[in-house]
Amino acid sequence: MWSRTFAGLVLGFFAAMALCGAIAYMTPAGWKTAIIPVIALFPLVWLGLFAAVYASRTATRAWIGLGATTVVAWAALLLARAVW
Amino acid sequence: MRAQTLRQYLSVHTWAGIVAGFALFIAMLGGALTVFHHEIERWEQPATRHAPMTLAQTEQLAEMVRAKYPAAREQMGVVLPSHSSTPFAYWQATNGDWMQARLGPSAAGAEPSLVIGNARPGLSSTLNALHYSLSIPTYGLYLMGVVSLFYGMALISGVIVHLPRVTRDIFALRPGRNLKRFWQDAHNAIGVLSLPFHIVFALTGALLCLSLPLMMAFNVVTFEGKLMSEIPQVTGAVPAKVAPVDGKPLDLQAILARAEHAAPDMEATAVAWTGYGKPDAVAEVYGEANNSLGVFAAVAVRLNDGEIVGQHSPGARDTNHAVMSMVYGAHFGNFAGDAMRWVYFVLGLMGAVLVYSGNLLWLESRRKRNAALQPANLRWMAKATAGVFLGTCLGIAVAFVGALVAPGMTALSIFVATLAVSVMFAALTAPAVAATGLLVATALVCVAIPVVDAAVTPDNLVRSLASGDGVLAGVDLIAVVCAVIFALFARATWQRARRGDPNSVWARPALANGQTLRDTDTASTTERATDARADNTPMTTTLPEQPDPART
Repeated sequence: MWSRTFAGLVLGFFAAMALCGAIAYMTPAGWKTAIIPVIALFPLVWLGLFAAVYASRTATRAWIGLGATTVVAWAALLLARAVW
Repeated sequence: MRAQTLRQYLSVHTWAGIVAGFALFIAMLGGALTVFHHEIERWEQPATRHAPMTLAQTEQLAEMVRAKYPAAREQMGVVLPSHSSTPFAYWQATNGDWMQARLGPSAAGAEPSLVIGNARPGLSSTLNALHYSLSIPTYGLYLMGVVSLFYGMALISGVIVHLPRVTRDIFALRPGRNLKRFWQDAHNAIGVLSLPFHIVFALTGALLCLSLPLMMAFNVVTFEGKLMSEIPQVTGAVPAKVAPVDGKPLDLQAILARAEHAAPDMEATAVAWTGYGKPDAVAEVYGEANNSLGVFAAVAVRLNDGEIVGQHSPGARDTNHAVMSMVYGAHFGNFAGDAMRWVYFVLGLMGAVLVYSGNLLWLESRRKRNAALQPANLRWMAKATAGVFLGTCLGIAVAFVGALVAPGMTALSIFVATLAVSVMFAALTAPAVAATGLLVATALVCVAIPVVDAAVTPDNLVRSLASGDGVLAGVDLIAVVCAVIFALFARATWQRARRGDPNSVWARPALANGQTLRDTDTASTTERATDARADNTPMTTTLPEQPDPART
């Protein structure tokens, strides 16, 4: 329980942050036109990822699953930032 | 879904609810009342009820502040009399503190005095501050942001837990002997039926409270430190650079006329000046737009010549401003007139009931069915529930009375004192006595609200109704309705205490050994067991005198 919660708290936060950032960079008119929408999206994404960790069978799976999500999200962010 | 997963979500739901519940209840109740912020603000100040301040007086207030505080020339805002019956000016002092000023009462013809204070003392402002920060300076705002996130988590996990039965139980409300079933039905029905609004409250609440930390996090984590410099343009109407122009600063009336011309659908609520007296000075007029979820609108007027230099209002704004505006509108419920405000009022109260019933369920599902003396943690939770939740209701009711009877006292001190006394009362008496006593007290104080209104002000309920003054009559009428509801709750609580299952924290403590209604712990006697219904008292044990672990 606590292990999952910690995963959701930390990894969920950074995954959601990166996902929202990636979305902002991918908007056609540039990230500056999507600042408030992605900030508004952030609590929803974070809570969604946070809630999802409790569905995992074991805490280890929660860490692996959310860890992978975080890596993908950061890859998306760095890619989006470099390309657009 | 696997049973183990459901159990996980149930414990997430339980703990998120229990941890955030107390703050959330205050937020819900305060928020529901804050929907009628300006109505309460008018009601609480009898002197200006029928004589709201004029625009000229607002201008005078701004001029006096500018003359006395040079920092206010750099940046200052005023709330307009169309929005608040007693407008105030706000600015940031050179040391960073936010300052506020109002016009004080003055003899006829004399120069009015300036009342300075960095806190908003009134009842309506206190309710608002309790809503968004528990009235705790600085960090209360962030605390409530975190509470909103807990609330969001409780909503998500609650829906998941309830999901397998949601279609079967959605309209079920099964009153009867099984009180847990009844409370469960009520809790689920309120939660599911108002779920969309509660999700909106939780998310927009978190955003409004945590906007600054969130922006700082985004600035560092994703936007490479380029975000903060964009924020003023992204949220405000004033462009980064305003071409300087010489001239004399326009007065309020002229500024408002220019803004009205630029955004005819906007009702101005406040004006903020930047760089007053300088060539590039700007006045930003804030307002509420009609017929849009994105109510929040603003027009930037160059102060020296009245040129419109920036604007965001429905139809004339980018995505950033539109979303920000919608976050405000969806949270404040001021986007579709009075009908929607009543809906938000009821939704807020339902939210408070949701939190309260959650605590009752927590107690009910841990109840020891065959022990008269419930475990100490349950008893103390019941005391805390009665003391804080009902003490909050009582404190707010007393603050309403206090606003008229003792205008010199701040509403916050009245509220906090009442809450403290309520919590003490709950700590010293049995939960059933505390709950009933506080409910009765709240009902009585609610009755006192219209009585005091009639006694110490020239208005009263009958006169307000006769003159069609819905605002003044409305406050009194809601107080009467609340009195009835609290009285009914008090009756139900006392009936349960006397006739309900004696093996409960809500049972009346025994009157044995000549003791009065104290938290006796000797609990039920056989006499009470026969008094209760035979079917839910399998075995009532008469316990000998026991030391109370919580008391020693």
